[in-house]
Amino acid sequence: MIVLLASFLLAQGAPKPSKASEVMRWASVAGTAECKALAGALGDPSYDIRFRAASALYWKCDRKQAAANGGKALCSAVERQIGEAGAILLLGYAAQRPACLDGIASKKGYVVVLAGGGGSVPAALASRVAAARLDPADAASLRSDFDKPSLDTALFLLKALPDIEDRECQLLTLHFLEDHRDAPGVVSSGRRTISDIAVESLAARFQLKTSFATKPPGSRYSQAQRDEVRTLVRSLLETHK
Amino acid sequence: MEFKRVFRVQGMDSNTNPKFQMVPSNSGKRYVALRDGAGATVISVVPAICTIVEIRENQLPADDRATGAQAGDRYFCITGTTKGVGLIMVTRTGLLLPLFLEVGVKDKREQLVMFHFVSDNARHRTRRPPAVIGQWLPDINYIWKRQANVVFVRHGSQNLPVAQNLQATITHPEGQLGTTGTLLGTLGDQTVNINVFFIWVLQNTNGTDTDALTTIGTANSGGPGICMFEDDAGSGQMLSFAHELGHHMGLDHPGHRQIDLMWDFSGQRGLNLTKADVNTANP
Repeated sequence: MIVLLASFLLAQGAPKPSKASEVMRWASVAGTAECKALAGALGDPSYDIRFRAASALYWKCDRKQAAANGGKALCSAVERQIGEAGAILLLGYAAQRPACLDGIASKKGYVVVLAGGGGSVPAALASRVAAARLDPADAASLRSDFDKPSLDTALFLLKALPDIEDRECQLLTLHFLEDHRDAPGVVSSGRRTISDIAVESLAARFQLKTSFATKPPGSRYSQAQRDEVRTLVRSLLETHK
Repeated sequence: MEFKRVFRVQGMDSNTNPKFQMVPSNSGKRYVALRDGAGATVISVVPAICTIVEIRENQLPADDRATGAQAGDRYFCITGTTKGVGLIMVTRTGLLLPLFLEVGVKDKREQLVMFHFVSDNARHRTRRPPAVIGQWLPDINYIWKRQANVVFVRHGSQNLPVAQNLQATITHPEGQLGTTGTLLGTLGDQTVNINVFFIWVLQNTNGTDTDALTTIGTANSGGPGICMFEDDAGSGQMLSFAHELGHHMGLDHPGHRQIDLMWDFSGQRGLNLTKADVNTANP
């Protein structure tokens, strides 16, 4: 009986995973083939699949390669108003300035999020980060986003720090080390401030060799530790002028 | 003259200016009432995003009516077409400024959830019955789908025996998952959006009780989030679980009122999602 049942099940084949689950599997492996498959999923008719694919491409794959693989599908997904900020940030890694980048700011109410907590921000903010990466001349408009940013903007800029190449913007990020507004933690229990998140973002961005551990993330950091990060970043940026 | 909700839990935020209404895309419908709107003209400013038609009260579908309907209220059906932000504009002769209703037309987002019923090799195990998933998910989706067009899908459930002693009380440092949370995360299904681990007792290392602990904003990180949920998680546990899923979607406590799902305290919170919540969970 068991043999019969087993052969019946074999004949039926294993249940096919849902597309969503398949995209998540690609994300968990994130090898060359999987990242190509994720780029292909950007053109999926389902918004949910496009969203998943864009998130995975941004967080799990090589961003330059993801932008190259994504190509027109990435632009198309962005034009259809994807909620994943990473999709727009990936445009900043394109070999040539994508045409879709300029139309983002004109879309009223277009908002995006970036994983890790913090509310939605205008898609135009993500487009300014991408534009500044593509052309240093565009960094001036991004610099103005560091002037009295809202909580969500500040959190976004810290999370998008790996995508920011403009030295002046990088230096402006140091202001967040003294921003003591309440911010989300890594987990639902426990609060911290933007300054704590800034410590971890800057340490990761510049691969700082700090005298204290920043992993696992979610800690609170002292004034002395924040000062240490500031000094390290300053000396690094000034050395590489 | 003002817009009022017709049904409960249908994604209207009346605390914003203009008021906000979530409408699902692809012909999804939501209903609003216009109070003191006799003689007014009501149009959709961007018909490519949503359309609006006036209906009679007896054409409203059977649903959970909000209280406070008044004679003379006009009823409208808003249909979502494509994802984007639409605007309903109300004008009337003599009215200096038009009245607006912001409409967020949202495509459906799904979140795959894997449920784990944890035990360890020292005979600690969750007492929670697997049937709880079937009891909770319809209510979870009542809250999340109707207000934000976010759907939580049960990917599967399983007993998860851990081959080590996780201790009678599982602890986590303030603001962190802790070693057990991190370990459980590695044992979870990597092809879902969030792994939920039902455990026996959870406590902060500072001695305070923790009902549940969830990673914040992991919904679109390309990998699964983690939620640990203890057996004695206080009253209103379905709502607490819906609240934890909110953390996974990127929501946080500050700025919320007691009627909101993201209110801090278990057993007190409501099930309302604000416009900001909706736009963060389903941007």
